[in-house]
Amino acid sequence: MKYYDLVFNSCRMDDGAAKRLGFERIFQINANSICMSSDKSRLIREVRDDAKAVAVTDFYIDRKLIAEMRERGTVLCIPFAQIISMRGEARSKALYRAGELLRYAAGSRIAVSFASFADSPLYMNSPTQLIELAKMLGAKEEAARESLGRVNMELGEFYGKGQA
Amino acid sequence: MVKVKHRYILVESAEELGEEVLKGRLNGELSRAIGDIDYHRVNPRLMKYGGKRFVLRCSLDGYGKLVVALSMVKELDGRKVAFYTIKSSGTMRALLS
Repeated sequence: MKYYDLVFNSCRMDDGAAKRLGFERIFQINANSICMSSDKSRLIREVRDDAKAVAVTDFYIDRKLIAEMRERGTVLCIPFAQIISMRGEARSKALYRAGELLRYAAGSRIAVSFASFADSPLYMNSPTQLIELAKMLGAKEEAARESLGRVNMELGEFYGKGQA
Repeated sequence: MVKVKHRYILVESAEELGEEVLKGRLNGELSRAIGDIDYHRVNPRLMKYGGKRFVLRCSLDGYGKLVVALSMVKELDGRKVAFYTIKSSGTMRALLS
């Protein structure tokens, strides 16, 4: 199966990084292209403006936002670089909340993207790591693989340019 | 006697750290990430070192926890690091072939 990752333009990778890590392609996207915010009213506005994907950076569940996303088919992004860059209790809380958000989103039949969204190569991950991180949050392995495959590819082709 | 099943993981680091640093410091950081309770169930051990790439062995049940812990280790011996899990296998021979 082919896997894809999404990182920001500021993430300077060396040539062949995608192949070495095990990805088919790593898409570089503009940091402003996907709305990443904890402000729920802003996220709802973006979803209503037909944003393809959004990320809830504080991982708190907002039922109205989830309902809007379900209606419009918006993808929920889980940025793993943000979680693994934390330490201690803050990281533990973020993992717990991300797991709850994922469970609620999956129950609402929303597509989820598991990707690094890294701004530095130090916060990138291999496909194996992303799948295990997703499983730790409560995702099923098949869902995690599909997210790294089809969902990330669609987002990457929509938002970014790729490195093979 | 029941044979303990292991998993061998090929890991690549963002930069070369040195075998002594890995042997001395990595287990401490992994212990912090995995936690005292599960660390010895995972039982990570450095098996082979080759510059930026090295092989870790762990218990089969602890494989997922070790892979996640490796993503969470971002500092080692005062240096910023990153570890990428490239491949895993039940035997060293299959891993390195």
